[in-house]
Amino acid sequence: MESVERDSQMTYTIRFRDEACSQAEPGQFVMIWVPSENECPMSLSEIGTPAAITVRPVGRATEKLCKKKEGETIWVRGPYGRGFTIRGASNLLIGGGTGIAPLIPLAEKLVESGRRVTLILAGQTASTIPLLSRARRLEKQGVELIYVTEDGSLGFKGVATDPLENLLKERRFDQIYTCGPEEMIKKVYNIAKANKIPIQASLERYIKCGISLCGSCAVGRYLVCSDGPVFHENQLKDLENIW
Amino acid sequence: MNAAVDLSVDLKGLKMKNPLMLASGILGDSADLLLRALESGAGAVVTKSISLEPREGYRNPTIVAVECGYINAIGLANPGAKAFLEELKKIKDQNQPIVVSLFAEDAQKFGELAKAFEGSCAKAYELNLSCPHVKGVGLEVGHDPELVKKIVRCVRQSSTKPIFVKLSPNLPNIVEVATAAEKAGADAITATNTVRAMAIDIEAAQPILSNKVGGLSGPALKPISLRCVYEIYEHVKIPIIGSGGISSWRDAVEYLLAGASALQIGSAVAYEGLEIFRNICKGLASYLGSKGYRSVAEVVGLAHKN
Repeated sequence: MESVERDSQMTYTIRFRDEACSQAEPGQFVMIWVPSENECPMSLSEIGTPAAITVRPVGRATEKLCKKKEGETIWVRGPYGRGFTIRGASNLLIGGGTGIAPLIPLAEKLVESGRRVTLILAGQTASTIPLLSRARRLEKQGVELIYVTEDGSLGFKGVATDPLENLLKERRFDQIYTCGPEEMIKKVYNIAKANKIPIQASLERYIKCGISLCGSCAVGRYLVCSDGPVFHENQLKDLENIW
Repeated sequence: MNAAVDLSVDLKGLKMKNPLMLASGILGDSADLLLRALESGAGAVVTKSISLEPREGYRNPTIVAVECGYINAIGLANPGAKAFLEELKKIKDQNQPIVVSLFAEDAQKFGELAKAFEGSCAKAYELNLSCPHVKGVGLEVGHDPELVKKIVRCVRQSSTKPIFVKLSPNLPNIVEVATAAEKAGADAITATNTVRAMAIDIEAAQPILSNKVGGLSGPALKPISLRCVYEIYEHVKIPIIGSGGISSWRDAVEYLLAGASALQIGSAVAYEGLEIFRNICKGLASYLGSKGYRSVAEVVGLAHKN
């Protein structure tokens, strides 16, 4: 393990060296083992050497993880699952809370390949939005940033989908990518569908095995660990009846 | 696929378009996923093992990859009989080849479970008498031939559906238990479940699985389960369902030759995805065709004659 950085009031970014993770796709996840505690699925928030996860300490395993020191061992298996597929010239990314984590490396990849990126970052309050410094770096590289907070402490006051509808009235996007609370994803999906824009959404379920065996991450006819976590509009359509 | 070869199997009334079944515990307990396995080419699907009451299962890590397979200790997580009966009702075509796997602490509870699923779309039951990592059930009730007889009789009295009995490769004498199950009225023997195993992380200096002990599946299990099938075939007349490390059509053929009439696929779904059912069927049909056989039944147990 290389470093732990507190990247917002609620989240820590933990960097580590792992060959497979250095070549992962944005949106893929890893299983992080905290001995004697648990093993948890985490999206990669940085891809390369080092790679990173961004963790919100919410239980004993994640609390222990965030207290790790440089040079200690971190147990990583993966990366697993299907990440985001890059397509289209103009891209709209919508992240809510820790769901912002996989969208940052995606935005970086989109920018590197010379595509237009608009990134909506949503959270309860300014200090809890993860990875703000990297978002600001992206802004310098030409990414349009839109902030939304429930208390209005940064950007628009409201929820992620508020600026989305206005934005789609003004402009056309080729592709929408989203990750965050499922209620937000459902709304984004419905808006994308109404506007006939292809969408990729990263879903979250309780993942146990991570390799398509145990079925604990079932969502309709799909498994989040292997069919996802990133699902495309044709798959999301199958989930309409269970949403 | 070779049109001249008939892959279909009738396992004591469970009609399958091919001998490949999704093994219990794989893909879990969602009706949609069971149907997807059938659409993907499985001849039948066995559900996750269901108990009378819901069970949460173990904390992660519940699975660890080792050199030649996986060790898992999911802990028989399941929603319980009542919730699972509701899940099965979601299936529109109630004639699908679905086998419900059951587990309980004693014969009476097994009987109650079977009764509970009598009106469901289950076409057969598989009794899990072999889970290697949960106290008081599975292998712990499945090692005693007399208890196995009692369980099978109790289920027989509560049900008219075919009963398959899934045994453990850890049994010192699997033939004895298989024979007991047959005598008590079982319709088939599934051989085998996973074998008790462990993995230790040398950095953390502790067992990796939260339950410490789990069941080893995948390629490492194949020669062990294959031997079990071979031995059981010599002593029982009821059909055997081969299970353990089948990941290619060659593995499938080996099991058929050893005496299995049908086959279950589990861990290989992680290696190859659900396409594995069609891939193995294709290879199997082509093998049978090239040897001049017209059906699966013609090669079952052939290794005993040579």
